[in-house]
Amino acid sequence: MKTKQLLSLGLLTTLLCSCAPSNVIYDLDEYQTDLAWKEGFTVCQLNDLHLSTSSNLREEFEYFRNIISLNGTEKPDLIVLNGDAFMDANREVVTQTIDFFDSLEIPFGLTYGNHDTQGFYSSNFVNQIMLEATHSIYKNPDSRGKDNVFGRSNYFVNLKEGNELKWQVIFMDSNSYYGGNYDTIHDDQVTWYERVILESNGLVERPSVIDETTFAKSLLFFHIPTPEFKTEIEDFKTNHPGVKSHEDQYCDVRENISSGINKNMHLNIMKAIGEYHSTVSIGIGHDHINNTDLRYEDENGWPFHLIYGMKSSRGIYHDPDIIGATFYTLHETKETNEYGHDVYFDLKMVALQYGQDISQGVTIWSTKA
Amino acid sequence: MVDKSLTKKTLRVKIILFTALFILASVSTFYGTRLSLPIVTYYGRGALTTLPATFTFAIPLFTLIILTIYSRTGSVAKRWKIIFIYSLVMLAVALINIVDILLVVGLLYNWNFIVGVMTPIYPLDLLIFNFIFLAIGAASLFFAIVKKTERQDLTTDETKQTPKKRLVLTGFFFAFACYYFGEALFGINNLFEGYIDSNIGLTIPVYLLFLLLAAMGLVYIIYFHSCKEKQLKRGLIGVISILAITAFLLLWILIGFAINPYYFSESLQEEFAMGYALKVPFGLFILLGWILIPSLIALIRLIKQAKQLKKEAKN
Repeated sequence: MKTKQLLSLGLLTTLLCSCAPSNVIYDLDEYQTDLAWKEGFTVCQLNDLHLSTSSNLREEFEYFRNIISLNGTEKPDLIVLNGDAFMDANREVVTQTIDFFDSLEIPFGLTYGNHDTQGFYSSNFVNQIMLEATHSIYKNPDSRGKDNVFGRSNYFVNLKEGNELKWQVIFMDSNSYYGGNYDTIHDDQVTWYERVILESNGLVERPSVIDETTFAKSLLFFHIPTPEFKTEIEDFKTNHPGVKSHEDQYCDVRENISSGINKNMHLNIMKAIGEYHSTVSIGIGHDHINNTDLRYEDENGWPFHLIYGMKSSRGIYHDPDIIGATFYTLHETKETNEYGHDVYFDLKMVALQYGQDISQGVTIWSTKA
Repeated sequence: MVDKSLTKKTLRVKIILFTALFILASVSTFYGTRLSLPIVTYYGRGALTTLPATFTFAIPLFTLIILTIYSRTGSVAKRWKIIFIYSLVMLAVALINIVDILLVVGLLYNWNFIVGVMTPIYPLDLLIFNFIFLAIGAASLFFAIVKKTERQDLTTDETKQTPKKRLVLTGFFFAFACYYFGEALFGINNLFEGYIDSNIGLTIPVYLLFLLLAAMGLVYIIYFHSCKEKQLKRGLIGVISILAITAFLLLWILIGFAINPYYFSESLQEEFAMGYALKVPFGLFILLGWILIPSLIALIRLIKQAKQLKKEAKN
């Protein structure tokens, strides 16, 4: 009896010990993809596709093909599936969708939303398919989750001209749930973000003086809004009641902002952005009928855009007049707009309803006149 | 279901039959529920394509419940009635599904019978299943009508009278037990996907907990309604063991939370119930805790039955 008890205890201890969080530190190369820079590099952000087993994929793919062309250019240089691409899907839906985006021969990335792992597949399946796709820029050095960065979709793209870093596009996993709430970006992810900015720009330590020329500019994409989106939207509504746009800001908010909360986290991604003066925009999704382009500035005096991108399909709840795609056109040098604000990229949100021709697309917000 | 008249051999055959049907019903209930979920989350869009799958995958569970009710019904008249109702439901479901599938194939798929996505050879597989259901429905209807007149010799077995309320509860229990058993099978299948999740040691107790519900079902089938004291004692030991294992697994899960508070959202979110429970404060513990309820009910009822037997023996 004693032997049996000891064996059981041993087995349980081994199993429990195998679950201890691991902290393997990988080289940044393992999270990185390089793409060639060009003036006017265009990023197309698609949010909340919510593809499921009941989706008519043929119709959905036709719609996606249309909305990625809405910017007027031939095709974007990078497509970002910014969370909740899948909800109640199965392996076939995931495989066909990733195959579809792969067939466009445009580099594409994916960030995890809170629904992407809720399907007929293991929590690793989407990750695995993204890693296998030819034109995917998605990276995850350790699919078992044993690296020291929480979540799965933490990776980045360096846009380079020769060896010179011009821009970065950074993707982060805003995670899913914790304690009955939406989760937030974790402390180790914030540390990873800082490492990405520093090391990609050839630095090991944070310089004592940072200005806008210290680091290459970057776009940041994740799915769930931070609490600062809520406060900024409330401020806009208070200061500009009854209007959707004021000067170079846009705010069409039709539902509550469901941002994440996690009391165990002490580092804030927004603060890190403010300190490094690299990221000029955060693109999120999650709330389907909210679209914003607001300017946020923290105590460090670094202003950046808070962008609620457009929902890009008719999956679950949506307003048909505001589904479409969000486009970012990047520039090498900044301009100053008529309101005295620095402009590093142009933003365009274009709506298109199912069954409509591309020419019927409606630009609901554009920073370029 | 089990009574004095059952021989060991008959009991074994019944256990094998019910176990096989339970496993089939579990897989189909889990699959059907998950496939049907988009009807709700997508506000009815895709219902025409999804509903045949919902009904098709519900049939094994329906059959399991009907068989359980049938085997616990002593009245011959009621037994014929049960077969008759079962036949009618099978025929109706199969016919509605066949019409729906043909409509979908004609309207949406340009008469292409293999589209895939929902199931590997959807909608052809659903169509085949429904023709099988049609045949089963027709056969059982024939049995219910023809045999009823032939077998006038059958008499009511008074020992097999189960109150309606209890039968309804049995139905609910099987529905939940099947779903959770299916989820456990799905989760275990995912473990063999070719990579080892860092939380594997913490996900195992959750799957085991789901499997326990099925074990509870088995104890229920074998030992309930027994008139033998020995059988009741065995049932009691079974239920107490299940309760003890459940408590042990819950403790394991709690220790798991202490080690990694995020392991549910990292590794178990693909389980539908888990994903949604994570949104509710203490949702997970409510979800896991309720697994104790059937065992507790079973324990109370077995104790009551044992007391009743003792009383009868004294008298």
